[in-house]
Amino acid sequence: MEKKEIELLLQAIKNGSLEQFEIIIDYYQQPIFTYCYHMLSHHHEAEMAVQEVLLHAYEHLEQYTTALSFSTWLYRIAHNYCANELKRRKLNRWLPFLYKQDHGGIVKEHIDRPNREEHLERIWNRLAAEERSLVFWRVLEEKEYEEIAELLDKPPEVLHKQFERILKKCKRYLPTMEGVAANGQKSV
Amino acid sequence: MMDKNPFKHMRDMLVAKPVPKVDVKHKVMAAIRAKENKEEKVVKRKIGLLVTVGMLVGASSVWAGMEMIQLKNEKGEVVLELEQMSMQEQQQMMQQLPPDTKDQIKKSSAEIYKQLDTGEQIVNGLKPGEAVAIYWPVTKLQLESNPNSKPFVDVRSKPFTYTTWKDMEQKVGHLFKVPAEMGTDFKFAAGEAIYLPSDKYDERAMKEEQERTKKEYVVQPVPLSDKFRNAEIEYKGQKGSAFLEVSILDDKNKSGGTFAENLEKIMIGDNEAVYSTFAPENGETVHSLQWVKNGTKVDYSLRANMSVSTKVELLKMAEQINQAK
Repeated sequence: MEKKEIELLLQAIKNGSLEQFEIIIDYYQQPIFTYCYHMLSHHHEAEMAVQEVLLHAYEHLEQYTTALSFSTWLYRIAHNYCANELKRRKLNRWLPFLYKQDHGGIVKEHIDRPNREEHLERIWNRLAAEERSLVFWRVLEEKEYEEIAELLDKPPEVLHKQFERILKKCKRYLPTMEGVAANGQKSV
Repeated sequence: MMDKNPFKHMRDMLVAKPVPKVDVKHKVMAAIRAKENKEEKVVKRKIGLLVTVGMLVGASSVWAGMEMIQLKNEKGEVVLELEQMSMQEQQQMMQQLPPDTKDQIKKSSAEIYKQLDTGEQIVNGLKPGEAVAIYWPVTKLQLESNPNSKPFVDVRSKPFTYTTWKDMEQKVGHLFKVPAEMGTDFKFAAGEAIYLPSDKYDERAMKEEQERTKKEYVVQPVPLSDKFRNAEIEYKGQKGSAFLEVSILDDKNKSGGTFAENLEKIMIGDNEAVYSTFAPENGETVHSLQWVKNGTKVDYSLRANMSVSTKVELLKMAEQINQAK
């Protein structure tokens, strides 16, 4: 969808045309779900996340300015949601007595393991929320650091270094990557 | 794309199994509609500090709106909504809470006030235009009340201060104008211009420092943004002072609440305004005028004790403020 088209839709929604938001949902739900699915490694949690993200976006539409693209703004909301969710899970693991377990039990990140190789799962569980986002956007979405900088609100050079660190971290847990990395393709 | 080759392996694994398809459109739309219907039924309500504290302990009480006045500009567009709040009602709600909840609210309030007071003291030690972020870890009490409590990052700045309008005008004159003198004998005595601190603080670093040092809180300097928050000006006259507060409204910030007992729509020239009076428990009755200058988004609020100025004098001063160039 063209930027202008999105802006017109958003304007119409702000003016009270709620039905237009359905078009926004149709357009963005799958990419945001894909992101949340990778972040949270859990189908149901990711589905809840995409609903929360879209609902939050609708309720805070007044705060959206065209300084950011709408998709960047949505991804930022999604990132914050997933980061909080991961933080909550981590706390849950350490302080389970403090939480009401409204999922019928603590959500474990490896519930959807069939969708990932076991060694990848091992690495993924060791990555913090921001690192997961960075890997998702850099590796899977092939975004440039400048684009990711907007999403994570960090300078590109900082992200570049962070990515190098993640690479090192990954190498420790994924032996097969050493071969690839040692193959002259050192830079990240 | 050379640099991505090392991750080809990882990429292949990430995409190895396709992500399921999702369709949450009906659920999201239903949630939006349900919320909107609910909001329509509930009369506009505002949340105050006590309520925020209440929510920390899981209590849900709200300020109940009693009366609302809308101010319109010369084009008939609503520029400001002022809602009258009932302090009494809130107090009644508080009294109805169970004793242990009240106790928790009391403790949480004390904690919050302590944090806010500490922030005030830290800001007092800054130079005008400096700003800080103060990181407060989640306290035991907060965790007991709400397991999802988050650390509190209190970002504050020290206002720029002025003793003449001429000096202050250099800083804020492009945003609004006020007279140097007004009414019978009120003269500009002191002015403060408050700018919002930047949100570029490193919460993670502060958190790490707090965990490492076990300090009660951690302070990090942050730059000031160029976003104006508001200005406060004191005009001194023989009988006492009149105070003017100025802010710039934006589209999402055009409603507010007041504890004033009487609200009255009034005209300042051709500009709609709200005149209100408020009698604190232990103090003199204050009256005030609030308006948004036609053709602008500048929100003025002028107040004085009733012993300092009459309603007519207050109106005259407001007219002079509106005509200032």
